[in-house]
Amino acid sequence: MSMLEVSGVVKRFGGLTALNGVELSVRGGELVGIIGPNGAGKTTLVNVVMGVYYPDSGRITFDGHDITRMPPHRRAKMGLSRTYQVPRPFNDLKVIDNVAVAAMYGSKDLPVGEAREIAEDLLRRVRLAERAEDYPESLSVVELRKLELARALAQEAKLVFLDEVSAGLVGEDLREVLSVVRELHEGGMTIVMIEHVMKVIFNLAERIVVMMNGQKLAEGTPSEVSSDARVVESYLGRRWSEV
Amino acid sequence: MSMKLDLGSTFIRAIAVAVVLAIVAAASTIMGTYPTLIAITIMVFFVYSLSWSLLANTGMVSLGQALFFALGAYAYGIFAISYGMNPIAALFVGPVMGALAGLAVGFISARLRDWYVGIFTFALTPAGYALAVSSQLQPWTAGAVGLATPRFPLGSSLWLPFATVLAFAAYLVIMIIKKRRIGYALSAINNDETAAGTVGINARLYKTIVFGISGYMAALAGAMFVALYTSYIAPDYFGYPDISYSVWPIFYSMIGGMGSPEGVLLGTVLLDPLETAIRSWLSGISVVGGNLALVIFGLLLVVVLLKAPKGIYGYVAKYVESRKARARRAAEAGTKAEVSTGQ
Repeated sequence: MSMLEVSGVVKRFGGLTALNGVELSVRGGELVGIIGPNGAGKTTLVNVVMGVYYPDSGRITFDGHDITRMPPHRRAKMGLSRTYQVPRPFNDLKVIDNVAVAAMYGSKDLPVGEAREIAEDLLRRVRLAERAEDYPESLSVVELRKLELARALAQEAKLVFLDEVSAGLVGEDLREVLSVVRELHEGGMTIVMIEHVMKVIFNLAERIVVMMNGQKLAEGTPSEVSSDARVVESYLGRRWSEV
Repeated sequence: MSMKLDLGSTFIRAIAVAVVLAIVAAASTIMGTYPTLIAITIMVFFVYSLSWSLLANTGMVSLGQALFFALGAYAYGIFAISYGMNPIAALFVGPVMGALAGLAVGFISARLRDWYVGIFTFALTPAGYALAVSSQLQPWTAGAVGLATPRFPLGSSLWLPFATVLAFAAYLVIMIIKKRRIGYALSAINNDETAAGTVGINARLYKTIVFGISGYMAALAGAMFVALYTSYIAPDYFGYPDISYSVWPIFYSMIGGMGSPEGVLLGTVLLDPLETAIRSWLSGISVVGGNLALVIFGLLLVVVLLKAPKGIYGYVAKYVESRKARARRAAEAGTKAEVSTGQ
């Protein structure tokens, strides 16, 4: 049975239809990639699943519960989490407390002391322990991404959406973040990666969903998707098929 | 709740605040009756400004805080006069009305974004004034004439120490909120309400609770103001038509540094006597002395915020922090140099 089920979701902003009947199904333990060009509706889909907006029509279920119109904090308590394209740390809280607050209010309600201990462990796990006492302002992009991953972990999230976790990262930094993502997945976390650049998730994702104009264009294993004529034509471009 | 501007541990900070409050109380007592009265207003406005900054640090700017201040004043007076309650009991029971009003206002404010909270709270103060002067409520409020309250049943030499203890208690409440689980949630909400929701924080619930606490504190300040200072309640405590009752806590908090209760204390201790001085100085020149004082403070606020966006305390804290960081770097460089010369 699937953990997350998005069916027929429509979201309009004024005259713009950002999501036009999206279907998405994620099984527990999977690592799914969602790709698509700018404006395809990827981030809107994350926002609708997280409850930032409610859809105009359609239905979202998580763990068998209808969450279509559930407020965001209750979805978090059920085990849904996300990272942001542009990281959104809590700037007045130290790095360790950014993670601790997620442990305090996530799936469990933990007291401050216990939450900080958990945060310390998690910062070590994502290799950010040496920045624990600093404020997020002083963190680099790669460190901010790790902070958001640690926050999702601290919530004991079952399913995490990673919204362009690779954006702005190259070389060693990119490899570092992707290796953390891989470790989280191996640790049992279900992950949906939203990416703009296909090659980032090609080696990571078991299944790829291609979005276009607010709809699902194609779906399959990375190799299936990359050889799909519609995908190649509309998104990847001709040169990809020659590779 | 900017924890960034903390200087020293919680315990040391609490001791420092206790010492400052004690010095203000002792020095003014030695100086005479009038300075003692000024010191009482410092204690009152410290509590009041803390109530405002608690909201501001949860992302809600109240422009009508006088609503709660005046409710506390009236509830104190009405309980003591119309219902014969012991004024000491009324001082603590009356502000419950402020808390209830705070919860109601908070319930709505939690659903408003940005400046709408300010507009909404500002719009409530004329309503409070209208109620106070309404003929239906006149038997309790005495309408536009105002209420004279009975003498507070403590020896008058104890009024300032009593106010000082209450001010310190209000400070401790703020510090306890900061250090507990709820404090982390409030910081998160203040920084980024959407992201706070993502980690499981119910922002609306916490904003409503915070408004209730703030309503109690502001109302307590109003009750203290009447019980220990004016012995009289006027409808204009609602901040209407004279907005100054809503504005002073904003000035004191922002100029002092609203990110921490110590900054609020600094602002109140520096500015409350200054306000009194300017007001009495200007009243010799013009009948609009009070409003001219507001103009002067408005300009002062602009000047301070241009130079120090986090207020005077924030500026000092940042300076001390950067000095410490420099010393730390120098020490690290020193040890490195030792290691290299040792080789």
